[in-house]
Amino acid sequence: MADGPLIVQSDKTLLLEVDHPGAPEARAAIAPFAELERSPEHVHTYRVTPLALWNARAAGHDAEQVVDALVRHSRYAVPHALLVDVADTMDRYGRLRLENDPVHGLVLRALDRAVLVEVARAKKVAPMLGARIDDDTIAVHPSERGRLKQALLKLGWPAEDLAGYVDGEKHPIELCQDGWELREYQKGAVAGFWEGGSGVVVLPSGAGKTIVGAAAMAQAGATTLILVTNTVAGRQWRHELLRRTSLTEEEIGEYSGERKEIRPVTIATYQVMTARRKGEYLHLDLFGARDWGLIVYDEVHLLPAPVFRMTADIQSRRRLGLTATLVREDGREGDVFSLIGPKRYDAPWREIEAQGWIAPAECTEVRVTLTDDERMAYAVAEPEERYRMCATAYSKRAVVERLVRRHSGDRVLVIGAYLDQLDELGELLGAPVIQGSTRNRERERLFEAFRTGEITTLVVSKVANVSIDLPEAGVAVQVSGTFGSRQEEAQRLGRVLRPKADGRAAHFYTVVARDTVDQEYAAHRQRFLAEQGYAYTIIDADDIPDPRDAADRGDLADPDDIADPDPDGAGGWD
Amino acid sequence: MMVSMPVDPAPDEYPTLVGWLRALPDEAIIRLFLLRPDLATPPPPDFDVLAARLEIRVSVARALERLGTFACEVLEALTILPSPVPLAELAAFCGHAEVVAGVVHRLRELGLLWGDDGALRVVGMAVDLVGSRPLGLGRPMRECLSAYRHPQLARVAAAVGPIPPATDSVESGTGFAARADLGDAIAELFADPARVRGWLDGCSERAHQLLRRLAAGPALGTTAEAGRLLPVSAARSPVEELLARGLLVGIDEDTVELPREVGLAVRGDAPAGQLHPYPPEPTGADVGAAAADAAAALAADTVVRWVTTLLDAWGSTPVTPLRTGGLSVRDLRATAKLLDTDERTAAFVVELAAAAGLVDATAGVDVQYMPTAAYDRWGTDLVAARWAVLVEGWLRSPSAAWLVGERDERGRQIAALSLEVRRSSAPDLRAQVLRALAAAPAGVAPTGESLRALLTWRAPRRAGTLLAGMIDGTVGEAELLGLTGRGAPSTVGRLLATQLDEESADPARVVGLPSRPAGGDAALCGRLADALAPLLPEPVEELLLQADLTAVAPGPLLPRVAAELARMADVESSGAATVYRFSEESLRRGLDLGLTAEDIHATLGRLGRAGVPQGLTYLIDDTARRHGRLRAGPASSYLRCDDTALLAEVVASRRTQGLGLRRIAPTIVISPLPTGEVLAGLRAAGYAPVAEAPDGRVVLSRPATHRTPARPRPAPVDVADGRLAQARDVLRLVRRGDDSAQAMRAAGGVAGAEIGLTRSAPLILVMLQGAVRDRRRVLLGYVDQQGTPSDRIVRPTAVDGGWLTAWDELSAAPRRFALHRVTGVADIDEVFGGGGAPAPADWTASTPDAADPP
Repeated sequence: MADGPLIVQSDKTLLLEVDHPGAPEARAAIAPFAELERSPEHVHTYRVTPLALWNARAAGHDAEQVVDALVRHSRYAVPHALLVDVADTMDRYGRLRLENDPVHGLVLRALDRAVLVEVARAKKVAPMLGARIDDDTIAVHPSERGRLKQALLKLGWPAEDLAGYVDGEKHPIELCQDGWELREYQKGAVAGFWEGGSGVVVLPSGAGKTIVGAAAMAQAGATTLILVTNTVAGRQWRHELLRRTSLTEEEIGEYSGERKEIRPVTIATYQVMTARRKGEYLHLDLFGARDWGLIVYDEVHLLPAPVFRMTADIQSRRRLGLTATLVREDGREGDVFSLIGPKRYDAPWREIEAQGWIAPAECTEVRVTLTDDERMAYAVAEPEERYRMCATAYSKRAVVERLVRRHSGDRVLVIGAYLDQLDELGELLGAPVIQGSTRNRERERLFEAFRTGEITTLVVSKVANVSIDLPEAGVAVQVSGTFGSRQEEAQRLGRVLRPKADGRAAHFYTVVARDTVDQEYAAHRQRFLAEQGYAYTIIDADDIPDPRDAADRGDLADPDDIADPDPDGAGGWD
Repeated sequence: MMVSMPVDPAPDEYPTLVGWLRALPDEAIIRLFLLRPDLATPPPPDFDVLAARLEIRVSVARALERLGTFACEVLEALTILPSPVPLAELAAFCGHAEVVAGVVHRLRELGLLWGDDGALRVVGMAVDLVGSRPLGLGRPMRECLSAYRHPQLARVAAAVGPIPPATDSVESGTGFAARADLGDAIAELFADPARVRGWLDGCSERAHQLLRRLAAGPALGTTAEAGRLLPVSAARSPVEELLARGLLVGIDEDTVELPREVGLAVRGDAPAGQLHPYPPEPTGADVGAAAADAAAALAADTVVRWVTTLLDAWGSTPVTPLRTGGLSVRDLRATAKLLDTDERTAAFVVELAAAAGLVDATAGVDVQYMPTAAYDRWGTDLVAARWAVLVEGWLRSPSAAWLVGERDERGRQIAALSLEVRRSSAPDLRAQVLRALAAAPAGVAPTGESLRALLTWRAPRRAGTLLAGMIDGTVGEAELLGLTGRGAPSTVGRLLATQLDEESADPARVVGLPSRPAGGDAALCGRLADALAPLLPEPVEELLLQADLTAVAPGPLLPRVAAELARMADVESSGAATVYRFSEESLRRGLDLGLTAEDIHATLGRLGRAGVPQGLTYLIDDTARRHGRLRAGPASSYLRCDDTALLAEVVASRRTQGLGLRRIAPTIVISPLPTGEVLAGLRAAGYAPVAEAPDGRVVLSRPATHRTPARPRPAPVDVADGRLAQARDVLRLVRRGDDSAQAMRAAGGVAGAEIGLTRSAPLILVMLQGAVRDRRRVLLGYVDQQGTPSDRIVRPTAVDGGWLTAWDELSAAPRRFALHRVTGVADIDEVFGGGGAPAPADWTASTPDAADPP
């Protein structure tokens, strides 16, 4: 006890000293029940939350294991109250069960009668319950299954959903593992999901979440509805499924703003699902359009609220959530838990990176000193204009140009939020600009050209934040963003984390105007990544080597690197 | 059987209490006074008085409260045995001879029994207080039988056999005397143990079971058959059988009592029954001594952190107490939130800090709670020393923190730090509980029942609502303080209990523990701190600095280092380790406190185990660079001038040195003096400055001439108006009274007693004063002290001081009337329309009723 790698704090955070020899073992022991909050270089912070404990409980861990892990790896005495609390909290999960009764259908059954009485008296829960069958059992209308689970979670008595799932319409899907195969952690993720029935798989960007989805579909062998963030992401899913599975063009339908196809495998966007006319959701029936055997939610952490509501109605279908993080900026982690399901698999970014499945990344904050005129203009700008003023400062242009030239051998993405600035940069760099108004066909053409190496530099707006598969992009230059969004920063870094054929490191630059709110926002955005262990190096714009000098020194990347985007073994298709 | 033995005619040296007291050595008397201070206050004049005091009920009861279970039992045994009794006989009766002598010694030094070992006697009042059913035995047969009437007695007499002729010879009758004699006769039979045993042998087995149960005590049983005294042959149930045999007595409708003689016979060789010479064994879960100490160390660390957090917060924002004293519920809630704990614990922490003298209310009008000067000294100590101060303060504190939030007898919530939390008996009870806790073997957490059993054994007669709460409260507080760990007494807890054991053995301390010295008990603190220090984790002096701008201290920091860090970083998570976060605000705070970027770099460079990350270096430098770029300061006036050469000259001039000029920019000079003085000084120095108004306009200067705005003054006409208005009001009143009087006259006329009295209070006064002036008679409506109204004719002579002095026509004597009892006045001359005053005789004759005395 005297020399463990773990320090248990009274606020239920766990500090893991990573350089300690016992750290890997301790990490493995606490990972099931503690959420990794930060993983900077020396001390990783985990937090023991009720949700995390219930996730662990759902995964079959018991309180004794948790207490043992804490006590065994802790350096100092563990607050006894904390251990008691852990045991109490874990004990709450599964006291209530949703089961399928052969006679009465869906029922809420209690292992602890007092709890059943307590929740049945709760104002929010009472209307969802039906007739009392016996002392420990209350009938529940199947349509309330999701909402009941939500309400019970809020009361702190999360129900274990053992009511099972409908098989859905059979539809054979095979994985075509020709020249690639499922990675160990992908297999683990699928197995974890399938055993649990429904739930969320947490994998970092670039770790091959699409493949996990495809493998889950193959396992289910049933018609599948896939919900994705936008059309482009949907097309990429389609592309991947065609390549990785036995599915053919005819079997995959797109359900988006442009097309409304319903086929054995249908890919729909969140946008179309949440489209409304006169306050009514137009495409709700999609969920009932077929007897789906599996529903896949891509990027669960972005799942919009209306989809939660719809999901509450389809609790008898298997649901797979895919995400890079369970942290939602809106704090609806509880809804993910109760409606999609508990976390079924989780692997820390750095670990996967260490396994070589995602590219190591070098993050750099480039500080640009504004000219006096710019500073004056910034100083007198209206508060709401200030960020735009410094984020789009003219001085950044030269820096971006220099950075792009510096990596002229690599595939470079320039990412920004302000269209004027992007247009200017596109012109300056001679690169095409992709923005919200760019038509899907045109987007795909440009992405394809980028993939093949026809174009080496792309200027993109925030449409490219998520789910754009540009595996060979090795450099991202961020010039402006959506204020201080931490998630955006992570997503943008994710663009360059796809493993490169030659294993070279990815570069992520963020160009920041010194002594302005730009710098403050940048600090805020970086916090998330710094907590993930991606340390930023700060350099001054003037310290970027002049590309011409670099060219003289022969510092350019070998052109061969660019030519062949070898997809072999690259699992990082999102 | 002992009972029946003839009293041993041992030499009875001291037949009286006074005699015994008088013969006691001085030390014994002194000890008695120490143990029972109430005997000595006021000092008894002689031994007769002292002996009398030993018999005072309250005093004896108080002494009994302090007795342990076995001492009580021995005392009870003594009341059963005939007095005086030799010690040997007592020991034989009680068994456990090895401890009886010690207990007897104790009872004797407490003045509850007296006489030497050959002839022990119990103080009379103690016998009364012990009660009539000692050691679970019933009353003697004679007393039990007093519940029976004659026929019932006769039936018992018939059952127990022939009544000796001695009693029979007395003329038997139905009188009271006969009944008493019969009872005596039966009791006489029961006095022979052999005979009683013989009767017992004749009982059925079921009756034996019942007998054994009642003999084990208590000797009373409740049954519906208590009144069914049947002949033996008709008895069916065991109760009926025993009643019929006279071995059980029905003392009322539904209660039966086993007489003492029968009980003793049933008990046989162990006449005293089940006694408790030894304390109950503590029972509870074995958590292990090491685990207990580890948990205790953690608790000690936590409680110190809580107090620090609380007082740091109160130090920056003091808290205002309630008007009635104490901490408001809202502030308590805020404290709980601050400490991230519940309100009960928060109240404990607040009381703890106060008990240790680290927080107090300020003196004066605006009372506030804030840390004391002692807190600063305390804050620099190591954790163990800080903890020891808290424990030492808590130990002697009269505050029972667990009372906070409970309702007092008036139903109001008890506030922390208020007087209602104080209980004078709290330190004593707390010490008892602590000693009982520490009686458990190392590593064993005694259960609540076990603890209560031990406390009850130690002082069975102690009771009170405070005790129950105090046990749970103290157990909880001991855990929070680390005197127990996971319920088991820790090393430090046992150390403290040892100290308390020593204190309680000191006779001078028996009544009350020592109160806390003003400066704290340094010796005790030192011992406690030394005992705790090895249990605490080794303090560290290093940090892990990380790129996400956090720093982790992987263990408890040295107080000095922690203080240093607190200046430049915010605590994000605390516990065994501390997580700090650096931010622009936290660094700016450090810079504001006088640190420089170099200081911060140096500190972090020294503490950082793995170097300082670049992001943090940049943040420090950026913050330091921006810090202090804007400057603000006080100035009373300024000089500005576009000609920098002129300004330089002005500042350099010897004649302007008195103006305190300071050049803060090429064209600006400031001065701490007001504008007027600067202007005058500059002019005297030969310059020609012009004054500027705050908005920048030029202010022309003129020689000063002094004026004052006149103060408003009331115009004389106002006074006149006021008086006029008053006069007018009076007139209006007069008029109104007059009018109504006339109206009454017009309506009702004047007939006999129906004289229109003026009833308006101001008018009454006016009329009376008028009557005094005009020497007129008036008819006076008056209510006397008994509330009886009457009308009388008087001739007022004076009105003053609320009294009317007048000549009462009726009694023909001067009288004083209280004005507030005057209900009305009528002018008689006017009423009777007479111009001149009629002869008194006429008048009296005309209205005899009105003038009749009540």
